[in-house]
Amino acid sequence: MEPTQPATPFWRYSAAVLVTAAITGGMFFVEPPLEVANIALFYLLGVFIVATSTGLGPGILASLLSFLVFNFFFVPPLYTFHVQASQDVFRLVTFLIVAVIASSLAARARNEAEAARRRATETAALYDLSQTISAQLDLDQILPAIAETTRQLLHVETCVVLLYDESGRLYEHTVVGQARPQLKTINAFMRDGPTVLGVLRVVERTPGRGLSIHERRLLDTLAAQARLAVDRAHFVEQAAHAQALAESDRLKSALISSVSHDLRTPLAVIKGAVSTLLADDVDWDRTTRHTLATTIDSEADRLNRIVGNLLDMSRIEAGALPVARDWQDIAELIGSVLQRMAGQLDGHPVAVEVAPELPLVSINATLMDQVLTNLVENAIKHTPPHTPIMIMAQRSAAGAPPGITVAVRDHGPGIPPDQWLRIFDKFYRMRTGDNEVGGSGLGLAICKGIVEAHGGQIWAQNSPDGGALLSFTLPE
Amino acid sequence: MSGARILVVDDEVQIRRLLQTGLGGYGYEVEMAADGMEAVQKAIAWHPDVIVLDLGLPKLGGLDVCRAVRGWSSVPIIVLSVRDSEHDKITALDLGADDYLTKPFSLGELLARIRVALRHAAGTAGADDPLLIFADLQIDIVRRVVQLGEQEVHLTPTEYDLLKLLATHAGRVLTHTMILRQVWGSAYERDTQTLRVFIGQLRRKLNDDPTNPRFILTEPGVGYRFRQES
Repeated sequence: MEPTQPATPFWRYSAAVLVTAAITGGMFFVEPPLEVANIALFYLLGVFIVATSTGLGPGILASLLSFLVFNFFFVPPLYTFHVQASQDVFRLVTFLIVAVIASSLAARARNEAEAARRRATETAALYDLSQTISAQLDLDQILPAIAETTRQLLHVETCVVLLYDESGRLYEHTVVGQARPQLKTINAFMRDGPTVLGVLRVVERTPGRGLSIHERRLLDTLAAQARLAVDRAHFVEQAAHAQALAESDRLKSALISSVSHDLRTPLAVIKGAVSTLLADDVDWDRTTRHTLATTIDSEADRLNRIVGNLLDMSRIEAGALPVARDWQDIAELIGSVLQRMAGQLDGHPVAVEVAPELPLVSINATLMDQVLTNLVENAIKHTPPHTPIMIMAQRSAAGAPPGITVAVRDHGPGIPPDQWLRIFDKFYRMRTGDNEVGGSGLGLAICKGIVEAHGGQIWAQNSPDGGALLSFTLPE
Repeated sequence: MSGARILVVDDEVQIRRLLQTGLGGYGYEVEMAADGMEAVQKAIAWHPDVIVLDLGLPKLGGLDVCRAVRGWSSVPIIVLSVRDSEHDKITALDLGADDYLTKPFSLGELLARIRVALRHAAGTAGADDPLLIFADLQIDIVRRVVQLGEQEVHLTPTEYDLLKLLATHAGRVLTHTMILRQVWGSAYERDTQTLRVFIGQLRRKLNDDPTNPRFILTEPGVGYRFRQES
């Protein structure tokens, strides 16, 4: 795509001198010597070649040199610049005029050919660029392509694309080539009606030399292409945002319908128990009153857990999980979860197996506490009472994601393999036969959100000797 | 210690009513404040023995109340917080609050915290005791000797200081920052990694299983609490 660089003026004018000298030398070797008129034709041919291949200036130089040399060596009296015969004067003048006209015609033809070639290159480059732009949506791909094309077409070293950030300040989105602060920059604005979306900026090649009219027009064309790309990217972004909003709306209504059911159940139990206690026509005995109060207590706890899960879920959805992390000992975290859940275990014995010498992990204690709590609650919910639950922590085995693997294993019916992924979806409740186990369907989704926010992974499988095995990793 | 005066500060009237009934039922004398300004005024005028302080308060926030009260008084402050405000909770403890409870809580938990706070305030919690005893663990403050059952436990000076700090504050939560500042000095107060390593060593020497601790309880994200015999 890069056109051959034109030769420097020195070489172009040298070529004019050399061609003239070569023809002159050649004439002395031709036997028998040519007639003067034929020699003139050879010089004209030389001028024509020079003008065609190197342009107008060298052509004129070749014309003048040929005129002088021809006069000096071949027009009598020889070896002087004097001319005697009026016929020779006429011949020489005609020669000069023809040579100059020929060189200007040849040079113009050359320029036009060159312009045509350049236009073809530019058209090809712009076409390639438009292909890139239409194939891509990502400005991070498009703008560097535009900058690179600009650099090649305008033969500049540096091209910069500037865009506006959210606070309305210009920033350098793409820089191709090196910044040359000592050189002046030339800007083309990406206009969309009255608003400017960005700037396509090039650094001038040599100090004080700007762009030709043609190059300026090219730069504006490229800026317009960039503007289209930026426009479209904004549009796509807005569409994605609108879609995300619609999605989140849908989620919210799903959440509300799911949650209102989950909230109502414990509320109904509490209301029922309390109204029973308040009834003044029956004198409840001590045991009954205690049973009712215990029911209220545990349902209130359940309500609290649901509300906590909802808050966590909405934070995960909003990407607003607290990021404050600290070095934690996973064993003591497990200990504090079990201590808090002691009243909830429903007769399940819990065994803990923590590998010795585990390194500390950098995690958010409150969130990881929630992950462990939800996993243990999940095990309690899906297994018959009094079956053991096991919590294990060890360095990840080969093949698993590196770091520390924590696993909660139960002795319930296990999870059908086709649900191993889906149980981490929001509002997914595991079905076993016709039974649907109660719960908000949020617990495991929250675990997934929190574990992933820590750079870990979570997955489900069945233990070889039965029961579900839910594991997650924490990177070291 | 019944009959102690408890100032309950909470903007929710239901919580105030509940605590008045509950604490009153156990013989405590209860006074109420519904916002931060009222809390500070009553703390000055009424001289409570314990303040139960909600953090989310109108007019003057709970943290500001804590700061203001600590300006002149060392009355025990028990902070009530919701689960989402971990950071405020730690700030309150570092500002000089004595303990915290996460809402919702049971009355039993609150009573236990109040008892511990009153004991510490009265200086009867063993701070000056030459011998601290927790089940089979004995800490001889004078001779700097620790015994588990019949066995002497050999602790490094730092481990001993750590154990002593926790044990003399038994029943009370100590934040990571507080422990680091007291044992290692304020230049190290952010070095929680060191603290965890030392707690791990101490637990090993005390045969204290971190997954089911007998002595050093973990308050996730906050600090540690030495188990108080009840």
